[in-house]
Amino acid sequence: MAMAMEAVAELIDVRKYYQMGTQTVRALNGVSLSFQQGDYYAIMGPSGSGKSTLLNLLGCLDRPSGGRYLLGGIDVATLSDNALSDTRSRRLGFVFQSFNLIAQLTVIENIELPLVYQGGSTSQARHRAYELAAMVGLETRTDHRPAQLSGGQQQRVAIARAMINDPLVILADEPTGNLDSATQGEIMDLLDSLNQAGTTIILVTHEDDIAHRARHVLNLADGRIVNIETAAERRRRFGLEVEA
Amino acid sequence: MSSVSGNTGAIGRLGDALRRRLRLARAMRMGIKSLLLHPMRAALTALSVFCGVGAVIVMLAIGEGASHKAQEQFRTLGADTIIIHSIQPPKQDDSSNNRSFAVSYGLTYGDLERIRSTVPDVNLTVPVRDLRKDVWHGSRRYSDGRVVGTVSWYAAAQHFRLADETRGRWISDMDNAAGRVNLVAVLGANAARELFPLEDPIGQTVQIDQRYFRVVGVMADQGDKTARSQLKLGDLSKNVYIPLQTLMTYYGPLDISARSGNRTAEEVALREIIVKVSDMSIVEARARALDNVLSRYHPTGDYELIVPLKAIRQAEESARNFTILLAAIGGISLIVGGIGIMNVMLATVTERTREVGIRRALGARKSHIVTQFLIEALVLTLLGGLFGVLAGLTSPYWVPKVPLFKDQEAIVRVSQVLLAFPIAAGVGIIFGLYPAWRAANMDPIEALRHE
Repeated sequence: MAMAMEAVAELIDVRKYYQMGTQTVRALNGVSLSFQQGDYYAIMGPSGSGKSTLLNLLGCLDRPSGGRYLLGGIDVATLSDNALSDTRSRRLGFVFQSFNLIAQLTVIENIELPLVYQGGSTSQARHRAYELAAMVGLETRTDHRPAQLSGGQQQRVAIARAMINDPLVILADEPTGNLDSATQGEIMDLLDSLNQAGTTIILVTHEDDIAHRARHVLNLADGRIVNIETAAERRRRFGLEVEA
Repeated sequence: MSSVSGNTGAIGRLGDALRRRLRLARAMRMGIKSLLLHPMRAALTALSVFCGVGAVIVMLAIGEGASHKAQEQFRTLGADTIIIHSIQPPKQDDSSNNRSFAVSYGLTYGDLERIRSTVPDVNLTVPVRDLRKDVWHGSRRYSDGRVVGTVSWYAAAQHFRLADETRGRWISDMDNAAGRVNLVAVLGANAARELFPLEDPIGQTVQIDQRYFRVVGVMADQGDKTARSQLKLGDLSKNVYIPLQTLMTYYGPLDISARSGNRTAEEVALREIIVKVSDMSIVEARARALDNVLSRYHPTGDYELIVPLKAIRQAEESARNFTILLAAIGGISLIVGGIGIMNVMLATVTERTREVGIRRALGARKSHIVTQFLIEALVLTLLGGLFGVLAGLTSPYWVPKVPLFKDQEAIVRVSQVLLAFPIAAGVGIIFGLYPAWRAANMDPIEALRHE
């Protein structure tokens, strides 16, 4: 477990400013934070607090206006557009609120898509995709189109897709926001099990019972970190019993 | 590492090539899948390219056909010949005091000798003298053509053949031998039909004035007469041919004919001199030389030089212009097809903004997105192009049957068809590039938020 203490992602005084007409919006105003290998973070905060901006930066979809973001030891701010794309395809996994599967592709094709952009051998990619489809319990649905699946099944496909490149981090943006509560539980159980197997997970949520599953909860407001609670502290605050 | 890659370099390269091929095949398959989201839209777009590519090939084929036809027409006159034709000089203002009975003009035997002796590289000179005469067979009168006196090598110079090579003959050298006056005649196809509608003319006689001529040959139809009539040369099939010497002996240089009551007489020694030069490349130079020689003796300009090669060239040029026009029409249809592609691709890109965002988030580079949409545009154009090429290839069969084209020939050149594919692909790339570029340059965050 010595490896577990290695920082996979590190933010150092990260700022993100947007120009809205004459006004400068400070979406992130000096965020410093480091994520360890195998960590499980929930990011919470009211709308406009900078959750989405932080997730976009962590996901290499955007570059910080100031400060440094080190992903696996590499400063993302200095990377070219192509290098950012490659980073996304090799080191990150995304799970979105609205699943975001590609309609014309089958389940298996959706799962292997990140590997296609790495230009890897297709037969290997296909093999790995089938393994992951089995892992999320969809081995009988591999030739289906997303429209033929339920919301929960689509999100399973999305999770399998996020896992195909053995990412440093899985970034999940309200992964259960579009699901009923029973399915919510299933999806969160799946994410929990991935984390227990060693995958670092950062998720954005506004639901407390989702946040309770995380090891750390990051509270954001006005582009700043308000505090970072451990699961135990949080459960105590909510008057829940603390697991042994 | 280097030694390993040295050993497996060839295999590695082969593997890379195979992988690239697989990747392209995969990209094509994905492109087709995406297009099949809207099969009707894809089909209509491909149709617009089909029209463009088809139009280019068919138009070029029609142009080629027209050009071919025009050239064939003049080729029968012989590209290596120069025809010198006697023409009535422009009316002279002193006609009132010129009370001479006969109007005298045109080419003479002197001209023939001068050409033979002064113009180099002349292989053949063919003197032709003709009269407007009625020809009779019994009570059947034929007055449609001319009685032409000429020599044995006339037929070859005019690409003029016997109707039946095994029967009869053309005028021979013996017919024109010094001191001979042979009463033989060769009938043009038209003349033969008119004079002998039912019988075989060979061995029969025809009457010109008081003299009887034995028919020794019948010529084949001249085929396409457009070229000769375009050059204002008479229809060879209408004439009756006799030895030049016979004609000169009986009629001398005068041609007397009665026209609407009053008698007119023309004195034309030679109607035509046909000159065959040794090589096609010098035809035009020799024509200029001939003109120099003749103009000195014919200040009134009572002759005309006809160079079939020039006519061939003109026909080629006008056919080329026609082809350019047709190609331009085809090209415009192709551009219209391209605009159709661009329109559809722009709509597709907008509609699939979110898909672009997803793909970018999953690690697609801008180039991947460009490639994806370009391939979709290419699939559409190549599909349309394929059917366009088929329409073009089959055009020789269906174009003459379309009433609009009225028996127009279509000739498809392989080079044009081979060109059509890169052109179609080029249209796909050119008109697909901007939509693809727009897709690739979307902000992935904005694209992901797109509903």
